[in-house]
Amino acid sequence: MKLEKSTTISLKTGVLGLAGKADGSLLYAACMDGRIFEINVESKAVSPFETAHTSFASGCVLLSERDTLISGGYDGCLLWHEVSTKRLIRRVPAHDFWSWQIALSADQKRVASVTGQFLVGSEKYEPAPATTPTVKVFDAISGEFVQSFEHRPPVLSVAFSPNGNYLAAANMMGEVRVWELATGKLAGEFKTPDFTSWGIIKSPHYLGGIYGLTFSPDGASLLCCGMGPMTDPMAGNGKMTWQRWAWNESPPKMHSQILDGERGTGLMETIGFAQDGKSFVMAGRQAQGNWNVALFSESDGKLLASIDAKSRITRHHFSSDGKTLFLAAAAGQPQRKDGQWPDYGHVQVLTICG
Amino acid sequence: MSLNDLQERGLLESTLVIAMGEFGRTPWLNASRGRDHYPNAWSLMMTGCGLKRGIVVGGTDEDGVDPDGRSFNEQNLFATIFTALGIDPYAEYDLPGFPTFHRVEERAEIISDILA
Repeated sequence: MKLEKSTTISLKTGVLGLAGKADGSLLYAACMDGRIFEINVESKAVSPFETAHTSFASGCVLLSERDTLISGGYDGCLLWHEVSTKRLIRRVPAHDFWSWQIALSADQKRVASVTGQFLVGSEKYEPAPATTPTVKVFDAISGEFVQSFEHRPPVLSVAFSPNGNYLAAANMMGEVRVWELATGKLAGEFKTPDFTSWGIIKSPHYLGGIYGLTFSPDGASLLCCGMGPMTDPMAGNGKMTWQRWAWNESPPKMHSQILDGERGTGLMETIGFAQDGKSFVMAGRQAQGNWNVALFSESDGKLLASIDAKSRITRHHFSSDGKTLFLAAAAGQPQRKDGQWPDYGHVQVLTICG
Repeated sequence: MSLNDLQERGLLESTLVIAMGEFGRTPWLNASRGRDHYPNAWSLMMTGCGLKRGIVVGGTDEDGVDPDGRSFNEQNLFATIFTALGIDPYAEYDLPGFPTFHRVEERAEIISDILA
């Protein structure tokens, strides 16, 4: 198996969220200027939606059968957009703080958003408890609030189980909770110390966390991604990490994780399975090593293919035929040149060969 | 202690409050979506010690990249701080075996617009 760069589509600012049509003909990018763009992959034409977030747009999901795109942003709002007209359908203030990530259930009836600010809880600097719910679920069609769950902030990532019965969310401290949506009850909970750093150089504080979260195709396990602990919190050089947990075993167990010889260092921000369920992708930023996008085998977790995308990857989207991988990217912003700010966001299109 | 507390207790006229960092930050983002040290153009706030209220001096271009029009450096700043505190900014010290030490070098201009 091999990953090959096919094309790159440039956007004005960094791309933090990505959704797309199943056939990969149209993509939707949530960008750091707060705007959402539709991208025609073949022509590379980029057109904005009418209404932007008032801060970074952090994610978007497509209701493919309903002409609707939902976006989340650091303004704490969820926006419902009509895809065909690019017009705003509704704005829902979801949180008092950032929407870090949103997720759509497989039946496209529910959208979940997670939030939370790191506020010091005590002299040990651990995060303070939440004052408002950090995990919220909305009706994806009407926008009505459905239910909320408690989780220690900041909650960075969220995922629905493939059958839509469960919702999982993970935070900066490596704590993962899974709830049964029908009853609202906590169905599973585990904590991993392998994604969180305590900075003993320069500034004492926690950082890191589980940035990407996905259920396995059978729903029995959860895959988490992020970066291993660092001594210098400013270095960004913790080991690229994924772990696979059997969340509903008692107690939950970690069954596998990335092999030491197959990883470099850097923050991994996105993880998810290909449509056939036989492989999963993990991608992010490379500090050291020779890749920042890699495909792994679902069966044994071994690395199948990798590539250095030369940009910080934030989200991914597979085409339904499994042949194309779309990556949202945010490079370092170049300095102003001749009175203009060059683009620093893009969507990369990779071909999966073999 | 907040500025209101200082004012209510009559201490603001004899206290200089400065909110500043040792560096500005780049108007552009680095690859970690953060901002790096940037000494070319940055801002600070001062009040108390008889400084005029609501005065803005200096400025940058629209993007915050370069100074625009009047600008001041750290020597201007410290000359102003010493003056506001009633300390001669241009005093010199001679210590055995050392070059003459200037409190503020090159008789840098005081930012007189903000002094009452």
